[in-house]
Amino acid sequence: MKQYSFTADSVEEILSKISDTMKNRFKPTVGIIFSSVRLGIEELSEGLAQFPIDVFGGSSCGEIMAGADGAKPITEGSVVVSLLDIPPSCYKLKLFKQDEISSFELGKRIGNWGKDQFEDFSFIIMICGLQNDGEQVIKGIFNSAGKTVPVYGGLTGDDGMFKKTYAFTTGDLTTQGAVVLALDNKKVIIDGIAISGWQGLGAEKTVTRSVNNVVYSIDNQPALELYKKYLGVHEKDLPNIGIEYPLLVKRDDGTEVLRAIIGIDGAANSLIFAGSVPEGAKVRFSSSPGFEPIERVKEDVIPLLDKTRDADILLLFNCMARHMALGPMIADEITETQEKWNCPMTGFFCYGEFGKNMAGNFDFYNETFNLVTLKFISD
Amino acid sequence: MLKILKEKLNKLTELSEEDSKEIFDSLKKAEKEYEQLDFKYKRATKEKSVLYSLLQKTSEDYALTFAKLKASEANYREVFNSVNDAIFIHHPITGQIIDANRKAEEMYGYSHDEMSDLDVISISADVCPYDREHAQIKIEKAVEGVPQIFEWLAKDKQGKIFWVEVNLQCAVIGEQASLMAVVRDITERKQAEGALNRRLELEKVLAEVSSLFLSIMNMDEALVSALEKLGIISNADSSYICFFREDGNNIARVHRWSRQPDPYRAEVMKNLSLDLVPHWAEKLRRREEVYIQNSSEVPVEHTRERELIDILNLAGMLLLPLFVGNHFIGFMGFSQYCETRHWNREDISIFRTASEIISSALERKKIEEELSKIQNIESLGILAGGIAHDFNNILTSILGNISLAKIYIDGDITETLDILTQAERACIRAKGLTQQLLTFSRGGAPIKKTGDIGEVLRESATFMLRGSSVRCEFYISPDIWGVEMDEGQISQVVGNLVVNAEQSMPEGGIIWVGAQNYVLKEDHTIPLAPGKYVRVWIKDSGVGISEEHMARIFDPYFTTKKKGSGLGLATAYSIIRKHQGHIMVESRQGQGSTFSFLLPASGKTFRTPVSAEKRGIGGGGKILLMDDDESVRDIGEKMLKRLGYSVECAKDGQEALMVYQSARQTGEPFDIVIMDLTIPGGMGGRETVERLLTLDPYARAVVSSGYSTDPIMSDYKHYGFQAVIPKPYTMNSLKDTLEEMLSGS
Repeated sequence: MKQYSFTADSVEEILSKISDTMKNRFKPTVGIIFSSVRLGIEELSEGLAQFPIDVFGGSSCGEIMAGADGAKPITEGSVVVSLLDIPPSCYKLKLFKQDEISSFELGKRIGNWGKDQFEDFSFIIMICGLQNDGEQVIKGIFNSAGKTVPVYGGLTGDDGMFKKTYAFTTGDLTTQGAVVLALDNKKVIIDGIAISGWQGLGAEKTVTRSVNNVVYSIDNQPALELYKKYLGVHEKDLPNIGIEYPLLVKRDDGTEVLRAIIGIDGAANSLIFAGSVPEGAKVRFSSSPGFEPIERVKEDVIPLLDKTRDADILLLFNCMARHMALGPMIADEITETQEKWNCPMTGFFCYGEFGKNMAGNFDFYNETFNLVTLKFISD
Repeated sequence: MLKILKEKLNKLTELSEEDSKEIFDSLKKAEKEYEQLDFKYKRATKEKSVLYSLLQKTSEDYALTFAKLKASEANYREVFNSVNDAIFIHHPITGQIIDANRKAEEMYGYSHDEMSDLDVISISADVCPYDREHAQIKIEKAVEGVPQIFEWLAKDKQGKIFWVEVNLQCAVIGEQASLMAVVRDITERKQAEGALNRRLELEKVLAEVSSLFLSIMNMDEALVSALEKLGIISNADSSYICFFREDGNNIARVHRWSRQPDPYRAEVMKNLSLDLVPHWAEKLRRREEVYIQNSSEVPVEHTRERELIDILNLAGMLLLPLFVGNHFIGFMGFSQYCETRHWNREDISIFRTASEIISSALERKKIEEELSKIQNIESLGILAGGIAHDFNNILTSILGNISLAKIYIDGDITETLDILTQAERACIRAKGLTQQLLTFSRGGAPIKKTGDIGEVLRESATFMLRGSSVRCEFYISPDIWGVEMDEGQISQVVGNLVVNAEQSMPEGGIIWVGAQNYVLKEDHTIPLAPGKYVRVWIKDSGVGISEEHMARIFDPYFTTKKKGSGLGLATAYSIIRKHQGHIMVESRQGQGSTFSFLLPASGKTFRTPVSAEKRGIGGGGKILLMDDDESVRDIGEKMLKRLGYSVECAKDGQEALMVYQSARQTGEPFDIVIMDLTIPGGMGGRETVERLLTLDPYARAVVSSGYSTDPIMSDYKHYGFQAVIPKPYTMNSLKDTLEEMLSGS
């Protein structure tokens, strides 16, 4: 498989570089593009329409590229592009506009579409983060396509503004739906790992009122007030600081998952999380213990490395909270991981991640380093 | 910045590109490190603030939670100690008591600290199956998660054993797997269960005893079996039933069950009498039980009772009276000899019920025996009735002819007269025999008239002893009351008794015959209503009757004589009963017997009859005689003519009615019609009198029959007759009856 990855700072630069690439007898079929909203997603999407490339694109909260010449691992306000010439027979791409359906229904439609494309398939998805409940989306996918279908991807970002995010493809985009890449598992070897490292803090509390991903009260106290009181912050600091201190939610089946705040509703005194927080769930505050999550990533990727050392490309859906919490140190996590595989890595900081945890369970996560490896099998 | 710096460096120092790059890289590295340090510092500052706030709030939460936990612990403790059952928390393997509530301390008598040193076996009775081995089985099952509920024998600090109910289950307390036992004292419940079980056992035995007497094949066997069941359930050393003799005082028969062979006491009981225990006897006669729970509680003044207690070595005793109707026939008893075992009111109530069941069974048995006697007697009825009827007809002819012959004989033919008289008497005796048979046939309803019992005694006794070596002495009160009796039947009774007395004295002797007025008061031994009676006794000094025969002497066919019908005393019994009287016997072997009977006294006076021969012959009137037997018609006609009546005869009812009607029509009606009751193949007396009265409502009819058992004979007026004359009849009886009718009396 041939690929070409680069970073650009403007729409013009991207379009120019793609044009130049195609002149050089490299005929990419797929373009994986993660872009800052500052560049103008609409303009970008329209500009890409001139190329015969299936674009899998999403807005970001920071761009990641490693292993490409001269590329900085982390950039902001830019766009990262990976052009791949993979046989069209091994993938299908579709943009889903939400049309005011529920997150669960969106997931169901994605799952049904996937079943119609391939017998045995995996998904890479980018869901518009602010409008959807990631947990409900993946539940919808499992509901229609089965619980064993691999789902990787992330929630699109908007540079931490929490106002509008995008999923886009060639000549089309959505701010509420998703762009989905379905891969034929017979022709593409896809694997991944989602690693967190956050740990619970403090006493267990109970979510006393919530609706899907909106939490109204915890221990019968207004959720927003409780967060402010316990973190000692002002409303203006939320949701940003809240992202670094997500809730560790204990589910009924005993599993735990982190849920980060992606918005607040001052009038309702409620908090909007990236995924569902069920009423009655036991929750604790959580935090990254120093910079240990970085060390943890370096260790926990080894099993995946052993299986996928010959990957053609790495995709990284890294939680923006990790960037905020780990700061410039996160670059080490990215570069050292990429160096292990020694193949191009492209990715972005997102508002939530879809991937597989250490136990092998596909789910929607927050606060994770979510790495995906792709190996395309030649015909 | 670094770029600018690099350019400036180049300008300043004329460094080589390589050196510049090195410096630049270092600076870049330093910048990166600075950036990282700066971030770390800022993060640390931020985290310090956030985490401090979080920790502080969390501490407050913990403090609040701790306070709540403490309060909860206090509440738990309060609940733990307020529960009315004992609660133990103990180790699932060693059984060591980890905690116990206040109720447990109270129940077992240990302090809380003392409890901590104990295990579950220390507070158990530790006897199989309430021991360590069995406790372990239950503990293991509880540990597996199967709650155990069971009864257990516990032991308190004083060593007292008591019943508890244990609810044992696994519990995680203080994050440690333990066993929690909730224990309830069920002593009261066990006592109630015990009492209920006891009650059920008693009632079961009662049901068994009752079923023994439902269909009694052998009363003695049933009694012994009942005594055994009752003896066992009562925990007595022996149980027994004693029956009195006729005197109601001495013991006649004993049925006894004993846990151990005990011939001495059995023998003592056989010779008991109520005289020996007057205080107990009084209570029993009043239908009260005698319950001695402890022999020491018998009053000192009850000397005889205390003597008996000493003789029998009684520790405790219960006596219950047995009554058949108003007859005190015996008692049932339970005795304890070495050790007193208490009977409560419920036990005594059950035993009393058992005694009543046995009394009812005895009464029923007696009735069945009476019924059997009657049935035995009745079984002869049909045959005897037929024979007697025919026999009576023959005797009527014989007697009638003899009566006439006596009248017709002229001159002083004393010897001939004497012979005829003997023949007449023989007929009377034969009549007596038929009467006996007829009595058997249907019991022979007595045709009663007020009579002089003294006269009957003298005549019958004297007659029976003619030519015997035994003589009679009479003791008849001069002011003896009249008795409503069938003289013929009472004569039978006297005759049978006198014959038996005579036969008991083959070497000769004296028979004492007496009669006296007797007022019967409430007497439990005589089954008659209180009132005025005449008491007759016939006493001999003969061989007496053995005890084993006493109960059977009134049974039909029972006889000890080589040639005896076995009907004499049975007949006497039946006749006296039908007279609403009662016959009794007292006898001891070798000491003679006394038979006595009571007959209800009549309020009327009696009239001594005068022989028709002596009264002279009167008469005048027209008589129609209806009888199917030619010989009876023949002698009857002769006797009536001798009495001065004109007579016509008819052989059946049909002919009688024709003759009667014809006589009316001719203006020469009959004054009286004498009808035979039974006309085989023709219209009998009953139908004839109905038609006669339809024909002539003023007709006067007399019924005559050899069947004295026929209800028409005893209730003739109901059927339309004005008089009755049983066959065979004498001149006197014929004359008296007709004169009475014609005189209108």
